[in-house]
Amino acid sequence: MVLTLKYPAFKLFRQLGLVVVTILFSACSTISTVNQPTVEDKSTPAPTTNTAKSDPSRVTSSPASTNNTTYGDPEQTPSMPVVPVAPKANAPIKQNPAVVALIDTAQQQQQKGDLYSAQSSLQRAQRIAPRDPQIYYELAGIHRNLHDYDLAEQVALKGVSIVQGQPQQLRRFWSLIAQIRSDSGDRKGASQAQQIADRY
Amino acid sequence: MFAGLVLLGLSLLFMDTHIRKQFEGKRWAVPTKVYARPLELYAGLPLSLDDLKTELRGLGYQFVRQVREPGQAEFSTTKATIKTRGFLFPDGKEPAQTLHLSIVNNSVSSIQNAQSQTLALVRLEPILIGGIYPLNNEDRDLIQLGDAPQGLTDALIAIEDRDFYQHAGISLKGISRAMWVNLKAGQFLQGGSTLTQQLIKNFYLTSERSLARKVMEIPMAMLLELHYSKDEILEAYLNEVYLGQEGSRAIHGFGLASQYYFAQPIEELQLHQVALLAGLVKGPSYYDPRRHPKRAKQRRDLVLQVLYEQGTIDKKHYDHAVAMPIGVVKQASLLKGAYPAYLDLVKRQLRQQYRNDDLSSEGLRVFTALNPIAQHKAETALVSTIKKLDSIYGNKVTDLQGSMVVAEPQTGEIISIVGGRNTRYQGFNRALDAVRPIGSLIKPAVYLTALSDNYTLVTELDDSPYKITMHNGQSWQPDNFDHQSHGLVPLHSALSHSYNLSTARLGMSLGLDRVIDTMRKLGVTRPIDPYPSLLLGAQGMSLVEVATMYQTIAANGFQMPLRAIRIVTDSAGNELSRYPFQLKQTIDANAIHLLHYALQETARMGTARSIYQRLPMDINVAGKTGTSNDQRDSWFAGFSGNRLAVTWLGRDDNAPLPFTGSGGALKAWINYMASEPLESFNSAAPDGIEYHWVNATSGLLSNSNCPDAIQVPFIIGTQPTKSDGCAGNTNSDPVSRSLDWIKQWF
Repeated sequence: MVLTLKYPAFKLFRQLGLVVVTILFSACSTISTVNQPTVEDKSTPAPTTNTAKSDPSRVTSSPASTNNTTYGDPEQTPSMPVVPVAPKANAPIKQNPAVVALIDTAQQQQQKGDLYSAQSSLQRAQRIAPRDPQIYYELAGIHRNLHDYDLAEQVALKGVSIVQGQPQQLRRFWSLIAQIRSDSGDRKGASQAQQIADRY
Repeated sequence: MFAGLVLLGLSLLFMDTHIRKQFEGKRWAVPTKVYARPLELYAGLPLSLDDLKTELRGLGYQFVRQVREPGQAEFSTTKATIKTRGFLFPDGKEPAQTLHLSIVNNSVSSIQNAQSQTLALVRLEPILIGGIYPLNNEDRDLIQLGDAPQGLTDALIAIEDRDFYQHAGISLKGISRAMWVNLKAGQFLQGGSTLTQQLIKNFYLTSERSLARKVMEIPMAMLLELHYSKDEILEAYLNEVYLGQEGSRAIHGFGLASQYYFAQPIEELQLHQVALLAGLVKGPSYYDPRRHPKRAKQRRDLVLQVLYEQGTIDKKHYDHAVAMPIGVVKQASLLKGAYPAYLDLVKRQLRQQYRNDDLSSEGLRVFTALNPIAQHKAETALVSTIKKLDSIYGNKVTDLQGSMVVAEPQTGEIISIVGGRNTRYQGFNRALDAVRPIGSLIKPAVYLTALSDNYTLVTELDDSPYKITMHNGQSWQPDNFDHQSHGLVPLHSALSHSYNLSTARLGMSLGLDRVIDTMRKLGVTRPIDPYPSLLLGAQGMSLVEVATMYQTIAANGFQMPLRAIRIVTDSAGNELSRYPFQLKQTIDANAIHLLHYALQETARMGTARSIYQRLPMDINVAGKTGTSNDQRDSWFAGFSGNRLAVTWLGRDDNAPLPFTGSGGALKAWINYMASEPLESFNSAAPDGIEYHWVNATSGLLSNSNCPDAIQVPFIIGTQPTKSDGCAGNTNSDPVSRSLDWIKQWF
């Protein structure tokens, strides 16, 4: 729980504090070397400076390509193995028809009020595609309906970790977390989650 | 005289009570059946034809030229046709049907039924991995009379007890006929005991067989007939009769014998097969079809002949059956008992919730996560590694043992367990019960504590010699494996090269309490000794506990109870308990991401770099080697995107090994992982993480063009502020660029 409350604080700090920090930092430092902001890393396409300036919340990009099988700059260190840079976003999953069918079944079971059967169907789907966010979205909803709010939130957070870097999905999951918290009576937590959702 | 009658009466009464108790006990105790996970088939499933064959062998399918019956499969180079048996799962019935599978490049590309309709998802039957019985080791596959093929009961009655449905427990007609047959043939062909008498005999098979007992059989058989119907007695007989021996294990009952000799369920046996089994009753050892195939065939053909002579089968059936080879499978195919280590874990988890009596008598059904294909690969990898080490090190590694646990890192399900090099041994389960010092496998807990506390991956650690004196006056002086100190080392290198001095210093400066707290968050529940040596892995843990710890790491800081059981139902299929997917985030995702970096570095260029001599470069894995004091334990724990495996090698007598974690356990791990369809471990950087170019040695900010520059993740705000002065100090990160841009104004 502590962990999830950290996120909004963190973001806020980043957004509002960036300029302040920048100015303080710069003021204190002796300017021994001045660099041109236009220098681009030729091996690593990064977002344009414009984007970075206009939306400070998005300057989290690493200079690596988002290709998750990048091992650094091969020209520099042809023989030296390198730890791959993590992708900025998890690539969206192409849903397997088997999983679509199981989620569909689960939704029907849920509509009939048969929550445990729906849970079984979703877990069956999870074993087939453990990185399909929709499964966690549905499963969190089941636990919410079972009034198991702690587990519902944890399952939704697992979903968040899977859709890292996908704004639309993140908005969905954080809205769901807001609803779960609201159902459990945690109004403050709910509004914090909603703030995060609104940011995406 | 009177006293004699009283004595007789009393002993009859005693006998009666006793025999009924025996019979009822056997009859009503329906053991719990434990199943593996059913293989789910869908387009896109990574599955080789060999994998499919492993699964189908486990299910006792016959591999034939053309499928006709359920339980048969045919293969071509890219296709398989399977006639499934169907199964009643707790969540619904899977129908028996014909499946046409296309398997291209070790992946299922399509599934169609007999009508050429495409199927999105089908489940095969689950492999029955064992049962839980009243007496340990008593392994039985109980069948109902209706399960037995008609031919089997016909053959039994024809060859063993022709008057079964007429006599009252003993058959004078049978005895005299047997004597006549024996006399005529000049040899002992028939015994003349009724099936009822044989059943009594089998009840007491373990006891001594004296003349007195032989005499007692007669009244006992008659008493049994008084109380129970012929069909009840026949059914008990089918499940009780002794039919073979596998090592120390007696094969009782036709259900198990069918698996033991033919690797098929009894319902699917054909005439020549049931005739062989019926013939075995007379002398399972003398007619052992594996050791004495000729004798066994003669006996079988005799049974068939009797059936033909008395008109039970016609000439055509007879001719066809006698023309068949005896067709028994190799000994090793008895799958019951093939997964003792996994079953052991299942039983322990069940016993937390169910009474022993219920487990062994209520006919419960337990559905587990065991993946027989992964289990087969894990066993092969571990055993072959041990054999290889045997051949390299000779008598330096006498009695080398090993164990392994494999889990699915996303769901937390344990999919296989190997408890020792003899994978069918039912005794000591090293994966659960061998509590051994985990060596450097502990280090991620130390470094995670630091990374959650403002340390970065490039924070310099002091790897100089270290000695502390404890409260009791004893001193502790760790050393590096290479007996060198490495001066100042970046944190990520200290972990990936598993330096002890810097780890000990780091852990002591963080405090043992905090490291223990991290271990708790990773899921360790056992009591932990708060000694400094904890930091280098003096703490003993079992493989499953280690797997729990690394599972939390693999799952981005979400702790999950490792689960073996999915669901338990009663005999009618009603759900009794379920073990749902549960998780709780206990570790900050950012700190875990940094740890992932260092553990991937271990695999790419640290102590476990031999991994990439075998695994493809585009598969990211992370892990840690471990070696305990004096090299008594060789460990490796690591994970890809879809497999988490922990391996251990060592000796039961705790003697030192001639190799380290990377020289032993890591090899077994690699052999296993290389045999699986691996998914790369790719977890996107959380929002709070940025990558920066830094100098690999100094840890100062650098530039992609600079020598020794590497990209390292930092929790935002913790990246170094100083630059190494290379290439005009440019930094390609947008934040730094913005900073630099603003700096121009001052």
